[in-house]
Amino acid sequence: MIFEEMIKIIGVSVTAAAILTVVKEFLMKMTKANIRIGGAEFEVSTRESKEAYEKLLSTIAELREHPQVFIAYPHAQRDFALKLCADLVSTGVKVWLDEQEIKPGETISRKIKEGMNESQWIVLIPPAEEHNKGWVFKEMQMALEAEKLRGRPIIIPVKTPTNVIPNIFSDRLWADFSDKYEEGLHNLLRGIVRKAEISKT
Amino acid sequence: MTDFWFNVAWTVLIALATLLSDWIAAKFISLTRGFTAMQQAVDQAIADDSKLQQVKEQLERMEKRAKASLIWGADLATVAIGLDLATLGLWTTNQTIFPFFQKWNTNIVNREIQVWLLLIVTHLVVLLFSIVFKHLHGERIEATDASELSGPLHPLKWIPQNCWMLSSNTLGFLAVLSCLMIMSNTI
Repeated sequence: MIFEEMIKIIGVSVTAAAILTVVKEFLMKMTKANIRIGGAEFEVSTRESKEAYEKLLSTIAELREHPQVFIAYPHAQRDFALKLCADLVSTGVKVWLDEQEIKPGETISRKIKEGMNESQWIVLIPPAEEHNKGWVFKEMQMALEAEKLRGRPIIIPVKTPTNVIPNIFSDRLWADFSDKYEEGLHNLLRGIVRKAEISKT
Repeated sequence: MTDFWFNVAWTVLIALATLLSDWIAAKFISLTRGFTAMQQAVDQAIADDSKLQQVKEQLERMEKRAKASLIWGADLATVAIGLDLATLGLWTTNQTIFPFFQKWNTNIVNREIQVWLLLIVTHLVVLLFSIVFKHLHGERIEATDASELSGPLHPLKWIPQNCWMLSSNTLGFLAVLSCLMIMSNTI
């Protein structure tokens, strides 16, 4: 009699434990989180790493082929920046340019920070004087901070016929537009547009 | 008989509460832990092919962590010990409140303390085993490739893969059920 009771209690416990474990498994399957990569945001499930990886790969491939670029420039280089923006857009690169993105009344520093976070690369056109304290200097500081946080080089300095590359970037290869514009653009694109094909293994 | 099923229902409710609180915690943790590191790894992979493997590993690690977090047996065993102590507290003020402990007394021998000790030690042993099973399950999940991990829709693969987890959860469930059965004098 006692033995039968024990068997019944254990049987009920095993069944209930199995059912509750399955319930939790389904609850965990529903646990998803949003990941922000550049400007793109998508849901990733913690339970389906294979599907999530394939989803991520296609996003990475898209961002490699059509990255977003933040252009930081001093007012004196506005014409050069606008031309560069138009040329980049014509090659399929998305461009974040302050005068197109910031609307009257919006907080400049906040919008710049958002723009940098959403961009895969920051193209920095330094001013003619190294110790310029204008907005481009602030943008350079913010870009350096973003680079540190993201753990990879995201700033690409651009040398124009009239500007000076700051000492802090002396160890970094810049895109040289000072001689031939087309050559500089080609080099810049080589730096920001990567091959889209990624092995899925 | 009805009392027994009432006890089962209460145990299921306690288990569900434990399980839901664990799930809510996991939901918030997954939004901060792991995802931030992966977000950075994905951003780095845009510029560096070698980081792709890191992204894959990060995702697999998250999947394994989520799999390993399905264990709630040890939590229930802890709840059972908590219930034991609460019951003991009530029992010390009124020894007739739980007749189960008086069952073992004879006219000349009083065995209530021995029964209490046996009950608490048994639940401690159950807790110990459920923790051991939890670690064994964690080790098994860690050693299994993420692509090999199956869901409950494939029971033939899922049950052997999660036998330690099911054992741990069953022990936890048994601990709380036994506690409630003793309190309600159903045994």
